[in-house]
Amino acid sequence: MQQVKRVHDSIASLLVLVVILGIFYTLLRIGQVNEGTTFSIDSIQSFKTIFLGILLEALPFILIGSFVSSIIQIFVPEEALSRIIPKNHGIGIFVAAALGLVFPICECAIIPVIRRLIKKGVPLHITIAFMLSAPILNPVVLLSTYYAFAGFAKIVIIRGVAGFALSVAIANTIRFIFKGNQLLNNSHHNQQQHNCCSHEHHQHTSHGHHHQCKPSTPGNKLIEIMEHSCNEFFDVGKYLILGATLSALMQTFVSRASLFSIGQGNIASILVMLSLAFILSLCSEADAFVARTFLSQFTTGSIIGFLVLGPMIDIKNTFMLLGSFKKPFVLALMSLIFLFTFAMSVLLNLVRI
Amino acid sequence: MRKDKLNIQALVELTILIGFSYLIYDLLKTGSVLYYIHPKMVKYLLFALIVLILMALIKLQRIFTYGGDIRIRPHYLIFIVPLMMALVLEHQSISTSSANIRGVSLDSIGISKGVTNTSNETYTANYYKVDNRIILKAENYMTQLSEILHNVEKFHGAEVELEGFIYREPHLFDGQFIISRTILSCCVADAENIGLLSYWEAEERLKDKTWVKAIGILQSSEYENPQTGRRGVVPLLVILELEVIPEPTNPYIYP
Repeated sequence: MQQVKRVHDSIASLLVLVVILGIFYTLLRIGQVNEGTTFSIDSIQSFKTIFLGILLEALPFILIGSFVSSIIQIFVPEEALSRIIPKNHGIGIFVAAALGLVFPICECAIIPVIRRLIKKGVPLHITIAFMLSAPILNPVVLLSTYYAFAGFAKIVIIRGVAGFALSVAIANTIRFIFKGNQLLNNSHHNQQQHNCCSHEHHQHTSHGHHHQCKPSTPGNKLIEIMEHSCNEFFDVGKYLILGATLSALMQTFVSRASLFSIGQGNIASILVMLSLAFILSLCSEADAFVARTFLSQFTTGSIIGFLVLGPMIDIKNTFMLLGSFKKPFVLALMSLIFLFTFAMSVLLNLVRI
Repeated sequence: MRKDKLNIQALVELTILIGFSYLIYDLLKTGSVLYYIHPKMVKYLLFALIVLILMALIKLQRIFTYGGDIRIRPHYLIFIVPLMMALVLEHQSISTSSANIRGVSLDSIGISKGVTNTSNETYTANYYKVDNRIILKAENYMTQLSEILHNVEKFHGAEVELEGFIYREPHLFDGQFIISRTILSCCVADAENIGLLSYWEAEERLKDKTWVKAIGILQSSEYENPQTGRRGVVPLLVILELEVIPEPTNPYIYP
């Protein structure tokens, strides 16, 4: 059983790798034909600048996410959570997807938080609904979209409504496909429950306990939260770095012109904008400013697709998800997001909004 | 609890935390942080710096407590390699190198037509006019340039002064080039280049990517967008005076 699972896992991870490399290679080839982007000192410099830009922008939010996750871990008991969550899962998904309106959380900070919520026993599909919709319905994001598309209020409304509807739809699909929490139980994490302090240690491999349990005073609690956040940061941080690396590589070696050469038709424009959203790994608070530069050249459906897909999944987030969830699940989630946003964009183009 | 052994793992994590803290401190102190992110994001980075230092202090207490695992795990390399790269390579703006990859937009700078058509009065108030010359500065660059792009006829013959870097596309006519600037909304990942098509008799004397300050008269020109294949009329700045300047300390425009 374990063996079969492991084989499944490695096949899935191989698939993810092949797909990403495939996209990269194709774009690189088109890019060379069109532009002749070559490897040079210049490209190393711009790789470094883009990489560090993404990292510096995301770092504070990853830290905030780790913080929130640690606070949930230490202060929120599991029973309290299970009491709040509606018993009816359909309603639960609906409410979770709407929660984004109240919590100004962006797509970098959300992954440590949902990981913690799932570990605390919140059902997978409910956290996924929250994860997908919150970075879109986030009031700050909606405001910046409004500001970027001044005079096009309908884009803000469609973005919000479509983001919400797709999150609910995808979470419901997940609910029927996947049972269980789908979290990785990494052997090197070996998360043990510590009896007296009641928190997990990300102590690698061994069982050597390294601190004594002191009576919990507010000061100790704070230190505990900081330690916890620190482990969380090292855990999620490495995937952030891998994601930022790949995104920066793509942005350095794949020219815009090569993406545009795919075309501006009803379908082609959607494919271009969806791949762009995935590659760029923009913060959902800034993506509207980039999207508006394409308004005059691309179909409205494709622009909305860009605005909805980006906050849900991008290179950087894919890596962070792969660090927390089983690969078949990440692969399925990515495919669902792509399929649903693609269908929505086609629909929007058909009705010519 | 054994206090005699060094906890290598905690030591490595401590080193990484100190490395990142130093990197951020250095970026903030020298101001090079603005090559990477929008000024509005600086306060978040300051917060990150404080948290990293606190984490390092807590790790410091741990390095003399035996952690059980003394091997250095390879995944720390994921932190160390980029950290070294960030510390070793010189901090540079993306402006001139990104133009080659992302292109420079001449006919759309994103400000939707809905805005520019509503009222011209609001924009007139933003003009920087000196003796009837329109000066494009960082503060008014976006609004002013979009106004010019969408009203090519109205600005025919206007005198314009601007700064930017030289960018060339293969299909431009002789003597033509683009004076371009980079717009940053959040971090360099969203950097977009916009520019004004320009003409100068001594064009061949200009090297790519040099920064210039130019004064010229607005005309118009046929232009085909190489990315979309769309044809249209764009403003053309016929340059009267041009001087090469060093790259500004803050090369981007932050909308």
